[in-house]
Amino acid sequence: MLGRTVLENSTSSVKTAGLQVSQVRYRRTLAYPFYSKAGNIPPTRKGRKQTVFKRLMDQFLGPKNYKGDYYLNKYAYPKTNHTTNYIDPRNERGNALLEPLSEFDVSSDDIAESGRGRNRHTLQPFPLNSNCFTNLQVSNETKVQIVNDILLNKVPSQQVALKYGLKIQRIEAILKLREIEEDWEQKGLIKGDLKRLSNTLYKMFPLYNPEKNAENLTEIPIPRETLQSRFLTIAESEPFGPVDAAKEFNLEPAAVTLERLSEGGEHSSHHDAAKKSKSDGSFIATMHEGEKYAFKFTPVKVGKVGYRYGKVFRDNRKDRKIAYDAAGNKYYPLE
Amino acid sequence: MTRRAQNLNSLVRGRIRPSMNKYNLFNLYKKSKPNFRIMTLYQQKWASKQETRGYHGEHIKENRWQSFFEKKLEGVAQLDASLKGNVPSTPMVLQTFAPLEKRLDYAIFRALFASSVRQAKKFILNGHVTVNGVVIKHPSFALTPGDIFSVDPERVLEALGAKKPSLKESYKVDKMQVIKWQNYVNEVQNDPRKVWEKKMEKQKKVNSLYKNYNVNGVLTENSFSSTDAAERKKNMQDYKIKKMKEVQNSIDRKSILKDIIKTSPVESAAAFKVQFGDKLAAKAFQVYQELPSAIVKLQTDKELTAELEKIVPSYKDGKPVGDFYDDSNFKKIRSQLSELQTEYLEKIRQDFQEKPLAQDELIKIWSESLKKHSKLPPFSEVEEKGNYFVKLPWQRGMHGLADPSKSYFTPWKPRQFLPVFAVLPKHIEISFSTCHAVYLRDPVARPGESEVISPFDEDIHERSYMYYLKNGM
Repeated sequence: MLGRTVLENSTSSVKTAGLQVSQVRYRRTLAYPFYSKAGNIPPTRKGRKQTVFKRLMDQFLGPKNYKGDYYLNKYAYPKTNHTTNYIDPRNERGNALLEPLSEFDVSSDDIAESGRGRNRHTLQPFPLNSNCFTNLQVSNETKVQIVNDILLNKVPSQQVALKYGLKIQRIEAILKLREIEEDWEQKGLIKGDLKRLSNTLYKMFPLYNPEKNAENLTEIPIPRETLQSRFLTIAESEPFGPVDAAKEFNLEPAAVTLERLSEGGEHSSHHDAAKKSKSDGSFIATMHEGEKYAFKFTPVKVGKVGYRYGKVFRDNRKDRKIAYDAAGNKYYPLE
Repeated sequence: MTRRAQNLNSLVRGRIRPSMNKYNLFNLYKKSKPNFRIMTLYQQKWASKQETRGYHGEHIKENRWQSFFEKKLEGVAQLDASLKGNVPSTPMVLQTFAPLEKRLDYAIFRALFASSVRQAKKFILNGHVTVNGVVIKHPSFALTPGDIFSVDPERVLEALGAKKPSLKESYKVDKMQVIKWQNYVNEVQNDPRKVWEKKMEKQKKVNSLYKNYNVNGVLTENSFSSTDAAERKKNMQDYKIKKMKEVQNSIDRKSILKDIIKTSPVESAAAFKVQFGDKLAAKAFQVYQELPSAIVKLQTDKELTAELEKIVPSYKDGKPVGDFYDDSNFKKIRSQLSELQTEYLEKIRQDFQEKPLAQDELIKIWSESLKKHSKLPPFSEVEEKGNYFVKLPWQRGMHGLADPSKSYFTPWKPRQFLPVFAVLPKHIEISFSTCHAVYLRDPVARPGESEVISPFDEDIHERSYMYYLKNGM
């Protein structure tokens, strides 16, 4: 306790000097709002005992009505016109109310209109992270079109992907989910509150427009080898392009990788139902009269089944391999 | 084992958590970047690690997380980048915590099927989650691309819905509502026009304030119908039809004849235009002329009704009752009256269809339709019985407990501040109407963005990546 107070004193002395970088073990910066000036202590709600932080929070949330809703906070309710409602504290400076509470306050819209704040991307959910954006949802009509194109018109998924600017995996996922939705609709499971939920969420998110926000269909995973530099001595006159670089790294050309990635999928043009039923060599032995059980024989490699005498068996390893059986139970496979 | 949940939403610490809590909202709102300028490198790494770990895998202990950590960060290259030119850099370091996104509990939180990762974990452990149709009870289950996972819709409704009130809370709100409603009805009965104008003004204000917002239960007493213009119009039509039927039912040959006699003295057909319109006025005048003058001059109502009974007798078992005039003149009058009646009914129908309701009439309808609510029983009685009767224009059943067997606010409404935390992931395709989702791929980084959803930017992630790269140094 003593040491702590001494250290905190030393911190403050360094701070006032403002010159030196100090190493302080117990520096505790309290998370005051960036927009709040020092000494700003808002009044308590209904004369309760409240800490300064709780008061600041209540100031941000705004008044409550008798049903317990923060009815004036602009982030309290979802939108209904396919737009997002993400926080924007830097533009509104802590004033998140829909209308000013008293005539002396300014509403957050006035601040935004005065042009003091910067305009933020509407798809960016977190003010501090400019590299994170929400996805756009595919509208119900487009989903129906995609399903029709693939299941009725028998267009391969690669072409549909090009047409709508969506990745093949996403199109396959839309098909799978549509199937489940239709099943549920037939059984009459989508009703009442669940319908209300899905409608609310559908209206909350912006819709995908193939012309404006098409996904990039030429994406391939960055190979591990290319993350490091490699040096090679060549003659000045010798030409050296990306294909040569790929050869140097022992990699296949990117175009080949891209083609391979687009081959998968149940509805792709490369899909062959016959491929699936590839025999693994297992067979069920013929049963003779009076026998109680049928025996199935599966070829396995030595070391893949059972414990091998003398092999190290570390069951307290941190990164043990984990697998799940068909019933969803976890087990540790042999390595 | 899970990390202990202690003081997670401290406003003083101000860490951001993977949760939709309102305390967390304020912590997110007031967050500022750590001041790296006054820190040593190790302090920077430590502070970054603290911040990022508070959000990514907050419920996982440090040792366990370090076994998840991978040096290699997953990114994608775009082959058409060279055609575009000026491609932004790829924020690879934002992939530091990508290995966690494979976990089932994180995927469920990202798919918006739970309001926090800890809740997602509870859903899994309680057996509400399936992967490819198999119940999985392991929050750390690693999803592979193409997996379909689903959560019991009841749990999703609970997670994204408003909190279910207790009987006491519900009673308190309803008592308030009933008191307010009684006062309102009183006011309306005293001065309907004033309250109507006040109401319209408030409606306008509220509509402009909550434009494009999905707000339930904040608005005034007829906001429920005002939100649906079609329904309101239909209600109006229904009312009109009802009113028309009432008027039509009150008309028969006797009433028409009475009206004609009452208009006397009459010189021309113009006198009947007010009631019967241009077309029928002549016919009415014709009837009037054919009536004997003795009848027209009758003054007292009693004599008149007796006389009407004789002109247009009422029938019983197909035979007229009592005395009646049976000469040719009265027969003619009777046939003319029948003709007049059918045409008059048609005219009333058309009038109702074409004429809009006057505001006075609207106010009258509205003020008459408002009925006071019966008083709520005392809470001790309610507590014993377990429920009470409420029926207000905007609410049927107890507040938030329309279906008390559910674990969420019924009828369902979204929890407050849901839109702030509703981020649609790029690596998961979701169907909200069935609470199913498909895990498309492990999240990747591409030029200008990362699919890992995180409130922190590159600078912070970079330092925490550095921290874990050297095994916590």
